[in-house]
Amino acid sequence: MKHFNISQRKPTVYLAIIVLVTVLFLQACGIEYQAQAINEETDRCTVCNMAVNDDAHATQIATVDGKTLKFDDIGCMYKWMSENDPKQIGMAFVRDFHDLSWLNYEEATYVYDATFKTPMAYGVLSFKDSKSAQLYVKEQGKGKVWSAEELKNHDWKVNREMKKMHNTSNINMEGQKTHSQPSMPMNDYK
Amino acid sequence: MKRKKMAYLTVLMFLILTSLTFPRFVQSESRDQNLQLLLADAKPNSIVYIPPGIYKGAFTINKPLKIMPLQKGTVLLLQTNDSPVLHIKSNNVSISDLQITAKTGRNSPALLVEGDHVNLDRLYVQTVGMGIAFRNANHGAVFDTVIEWGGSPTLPVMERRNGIDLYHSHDILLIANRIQGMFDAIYLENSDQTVVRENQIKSSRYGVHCMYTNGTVIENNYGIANITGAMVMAVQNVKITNNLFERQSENVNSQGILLFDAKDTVVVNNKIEGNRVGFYIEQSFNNHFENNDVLFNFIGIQMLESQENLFRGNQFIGNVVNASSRESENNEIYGNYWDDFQGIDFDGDGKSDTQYAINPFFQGLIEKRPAFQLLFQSPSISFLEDLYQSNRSKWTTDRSALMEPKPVTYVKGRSIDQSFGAVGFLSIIFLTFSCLTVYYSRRKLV
Repeated sequence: MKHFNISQRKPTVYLAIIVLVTVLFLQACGIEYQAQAINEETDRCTVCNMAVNDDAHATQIATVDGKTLKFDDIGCMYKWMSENDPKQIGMAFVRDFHDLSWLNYEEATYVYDATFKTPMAYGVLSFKDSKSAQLYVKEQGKGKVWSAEELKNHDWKVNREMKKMHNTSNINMEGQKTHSQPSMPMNDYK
Repeated sequence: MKRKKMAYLTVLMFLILTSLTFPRFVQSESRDQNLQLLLADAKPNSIVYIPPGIYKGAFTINKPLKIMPLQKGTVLLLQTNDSPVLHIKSNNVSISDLQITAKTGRNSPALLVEGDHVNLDRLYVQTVGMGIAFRNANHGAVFDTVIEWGGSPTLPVMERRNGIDLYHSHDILLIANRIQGMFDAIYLENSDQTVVRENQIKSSRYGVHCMYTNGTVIENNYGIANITGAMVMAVQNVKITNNLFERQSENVNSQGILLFDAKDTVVVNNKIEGNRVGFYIEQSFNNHFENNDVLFNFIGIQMLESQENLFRGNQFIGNVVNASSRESENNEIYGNYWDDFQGIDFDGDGKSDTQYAINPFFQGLIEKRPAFQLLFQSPSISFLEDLYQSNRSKWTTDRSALMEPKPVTYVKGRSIDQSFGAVGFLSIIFLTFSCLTVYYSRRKLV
């Protein structure tokens, strides 16, 4: 009969067990936040309630208590951040405009122009590096390139403020409707 | 002899009916250039009659014109690249009775309007991109136009494009159109004083989607099987009246009418039936909800963080849960009918002298832990709701609910399928002839 004798085991086996236990221990201690896939059938923006499309504008926050909050626009995510305790945020993710990979929002580069069409009209796009962001600005002929730090100073106005609406369309004392026309590129129908 | 006659008659009828039913397009590939030349040669403010045919390409209209086919139903404009089939740059253009098929331009609208006073009437648009886009174009109109998704029916609506899309375009009339299978059937952004009336909208993401609009009128529309009938966001002075939104229940986030950040909006005489949520109202202030019938929804009205709204004369009947509410104080709510409420009418004025209060416990719970939605209407939650009575004075409350319902508002029934009439008519004729043929051709049994 063969008896189990631990002393007969090879040193490599012990080493493998030690490494495995160490990795498991480290994983248990350190929390690694992962972005979740967007499900267009069920996900809706935590702030504005619109359906979240699986596109370049989708963002998400992994909270420290294990929840994932999804947003349809970077502006909605910043609105949530401004209204909630920052200690709740484990990690916030944005997407590269071109390949849709998830990025830590603090490491992404942003491009803003009021005429960029985004789901909630905040007009901010995210890129994985400043080179692709600058190239996009060059292609479009408009837009400002910002780092995540510079984005924090953004006032997050949508491309049309409600207060301004009273001025852009109203009925004057003579009963005639008046409008102001914002500038917009003629081919921006996408 | 009789049999032969019947057979000839049937074949003859078939030929006549098929020739009446199908459009008579004439294949004419060389005509794409001719149409642009025809448009170029036309004098401003003249009428251009397009001869029958299929015209391929992208056409630009640079002068005021009235464009129509020589014979109705005989002109098809076919997209061949990623540009709009019709690009209207001029003011005062009128186009009617054309069929437009756009199946190559995923990123472009079938029609792009950039001029003022453009009228589009009785068009039939099939597209894999956007249907009709107005950009900085005021005082236009779209009447009696059909817009349909022209791509694969299996492509999710989330990946499709808008039917009619307005951006910075004011005073537009969108009347009696039929839109089916698009992303947002009618999308309005930064466009004021739009009238959306008597449209039929089916199987799209949002039926009417307003973003940053002022003075929009949404009335007498019919929406069925969309994710949301009317999505009204960041708006002021919108009027939503006499609409019927039903069976918006396929998606987990579907609702009849959603108001988010809406102010000074009037929602009157609508019928909201068979949706997941009838009215979803969030962060909305000073709106007026009156005489709406909210019937057979999963949740009749869901209200979050909304104040100073008026609810009067609405009826909530047959909903699984009539109302849920959180952080919605200072709303003026009275004289509504709630079928799950057993009030007491001491003075016989038809109104309850006890209040109908909406317990915010479950809404607060799922706000913190969404997974607890699984416990919706469970005995444990009902028990906890009964126990939870804190801050009752701040609950959303109908102070004098009606004891009896009023007759349900009649909203005119509408058929979404425009071809049903013709198909039904043809079916009846074919069925009649088939029966007659069988009758006269039958063999006598010995």
